[in-house]
Amino acid sequence: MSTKIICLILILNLTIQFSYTQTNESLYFTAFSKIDSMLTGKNSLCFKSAVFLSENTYFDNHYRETDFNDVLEYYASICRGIMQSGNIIYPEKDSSSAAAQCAVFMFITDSIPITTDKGVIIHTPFQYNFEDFAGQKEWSNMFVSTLMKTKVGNCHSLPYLYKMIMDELGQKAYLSLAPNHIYIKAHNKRVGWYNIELTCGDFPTDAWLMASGYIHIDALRNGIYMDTLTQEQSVALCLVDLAQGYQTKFGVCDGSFILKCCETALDHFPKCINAMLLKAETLTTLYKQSEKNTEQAQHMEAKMNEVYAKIHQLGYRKMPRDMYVNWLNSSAIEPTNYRMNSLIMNKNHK
Amino acid sequence: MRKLFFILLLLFAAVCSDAQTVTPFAQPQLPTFETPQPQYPPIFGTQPEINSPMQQQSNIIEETYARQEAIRRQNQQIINESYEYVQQIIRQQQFEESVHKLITDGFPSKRHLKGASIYYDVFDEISSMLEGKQPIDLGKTVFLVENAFYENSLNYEDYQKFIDEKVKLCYDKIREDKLDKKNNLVKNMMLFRLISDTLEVKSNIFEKTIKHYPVKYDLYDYKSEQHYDSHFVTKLMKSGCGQCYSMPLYYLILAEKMEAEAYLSLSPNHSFVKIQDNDGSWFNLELTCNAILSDAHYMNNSYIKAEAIRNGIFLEPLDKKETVALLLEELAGGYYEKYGLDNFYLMCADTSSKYLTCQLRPLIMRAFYKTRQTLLLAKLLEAPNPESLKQISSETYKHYEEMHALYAQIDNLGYEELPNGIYERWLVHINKLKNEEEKSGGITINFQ
Repeated sequence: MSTKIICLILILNLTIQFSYTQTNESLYFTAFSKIDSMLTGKNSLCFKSAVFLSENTYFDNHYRETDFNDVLEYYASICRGIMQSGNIIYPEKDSSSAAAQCAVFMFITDSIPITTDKGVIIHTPFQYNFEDFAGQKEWSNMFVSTLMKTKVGNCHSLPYLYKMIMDELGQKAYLSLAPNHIYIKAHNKRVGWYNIELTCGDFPTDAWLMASGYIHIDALRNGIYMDTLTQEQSVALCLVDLAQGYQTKFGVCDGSFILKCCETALDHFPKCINAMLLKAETLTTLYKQSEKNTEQAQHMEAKMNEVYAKIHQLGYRKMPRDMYVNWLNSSAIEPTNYRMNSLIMNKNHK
Repeated sequence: MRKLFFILLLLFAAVCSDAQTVTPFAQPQLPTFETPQPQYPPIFGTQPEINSPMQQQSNIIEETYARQEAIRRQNQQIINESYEYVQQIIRQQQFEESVHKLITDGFPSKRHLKGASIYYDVFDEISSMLEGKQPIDLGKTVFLVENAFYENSLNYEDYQKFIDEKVKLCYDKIREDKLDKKNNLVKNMMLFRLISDTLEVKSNIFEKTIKHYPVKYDLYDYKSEQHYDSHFVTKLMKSGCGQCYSMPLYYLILAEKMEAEAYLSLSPNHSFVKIQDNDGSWFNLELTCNAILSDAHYMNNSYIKAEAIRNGIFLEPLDKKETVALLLEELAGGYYEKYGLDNFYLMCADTSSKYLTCQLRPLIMRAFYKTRQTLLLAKLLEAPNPESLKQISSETYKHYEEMHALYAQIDNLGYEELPNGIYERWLVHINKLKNEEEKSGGITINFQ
């Protein structure tokens, strides 16, 4: 009798677990269709909304989008304050966009005194997550929502936040990809195109990113790295994030959801190397799972090789993990000689 | 000039009592300028007094004589002024004609000038190579371009003989080192050694060693500022000194003769050689400092941005045909140096643009031409800013807009001028080398 009850409880427990999983998985499908509708043009492209969707699904829709937007608006208001403070002196015609670029950079990387009813409070800069920079311990460490909560972020959440604030301010900033890395590209009349590295608060040159970031020149020629991402491409990139969140939660499963995300992302961003890599990895997992020497396995192998060949041909070279860690450390220590210091001229130092 | 003209006109109006009949403002192109006298009734109105019967009285004679003289002077003065006025009209007419021509046809042709037709002949020959009517010959193209500057005074046979000697030297050394003379990499590395290192080759005939010295970097006029021909390959051949334009071309000419695969590549204000090894990996041969450098090195040193690489304006290997097409810019440069701007310059830009994948150089040429044309027109029309230019001449304003469109195209390719201070840093480096060389006993000229 007792064993029966235990069995029953176990079965009940399992079914509950199962149905729980089911609903969670369905959340991913809903998020996918919402992002997809932005890409197909049914809804307007909204990067912050796509980011929120990809993150909140991981938290089982625990958060409200309005709260997320409120925090973002608060950040944007501080940046507006910095822009209007008169501390940014920029002599060219495009001063409003250059001032915004500078203000958001200062907000993320520096302490900002804010006058409130209770006196002056200091908004401290966001920190870099050295412990879990790639979200390997906890996937949500990659999220902007985590960054908002903990004020600790990485090369995924920090540039996303930068772009989102710039979007709020109505100014342009672009995400740009490097191997295992995302950074910001911006343009102003004074310096032309330049790079913003928020993880260490610096402005690295393209040459430095290329040499230290293990980027082959063909990757630059083909535009898979170090190019500016359009709004559509940025939203498409959120689908890759969504797929990776799914993978962390449920594993590859039959691969269909992940592959669907990758394919859709590639439809709108054909050179999206991150989507190509995830697709190739998923195909590899599926190939390894499949029974050897069957027709299906051969088909899978051919497909996998095709993607890898394309990835290589576009100029991608896998960077060894130790090298990446060294690179991250060096980016925090090594100064780059071509800085944008001339851009930020503080009145007080004049 | 226009102001002066107006002042003279005003002066003239004051002299003429019947000035209203002359309306030069409305009709600057008067057709009757050859017979101006009828337009000046005051001159003739005073004349009857000269023949007055009062002349018989001697005291009056003198007076009359003096008056006559005064009138004569006045007449002469008026004639002079009228002559000056006519000249002004002619000049004004010519001025307006030439402004009009500058707007519609661009700068006047210089083809009739001494030696200019040679440039047209060379252009035709290079064009026929590019069109495939003649085989592409880089060595010949370089010779033609430089020979045109010297108005056909160079000897092509001597030039070929020089190249043959160098190639023979490379092959002798390859044989001596027991290397494979058919291997592309062997040929390229031997050329690299020939240009950047001292080569000792045993001569078969006299059983003595020939010492061949490397090409030296021309520290004194590497920008062709003192002499236009300082960057010529033929100058390198004569003096043994080259710079970042002549050294890669010299290398490629020898490579062409040896049938070795090598490519020209560009970076900001610089060019170098790219070769591939047997595995297909690319290497950059920096002949000016005897080094093999990485792509990242060039990007770092010249601040090349990702956009420039993506649009293929820098660090891209250019094959022989593209190199020849690029030499049209050099041909246009020589022509400009000798004769100035005219349609020939644009002709070179248009033809080279047909055969180049990356349009940067032809665009820069067109933008240069357009800028000079627009600025000159703005100056002639005395337009201090674009708005007044638009009011004075809408046709010229179109040129102004076209000029901006060209610069926008150039910007979109990711082309940016070097940041301030970079070039100065380079100059400091050159000066340091100069001082070192002067301390070690001056320049040694390379002779074989």
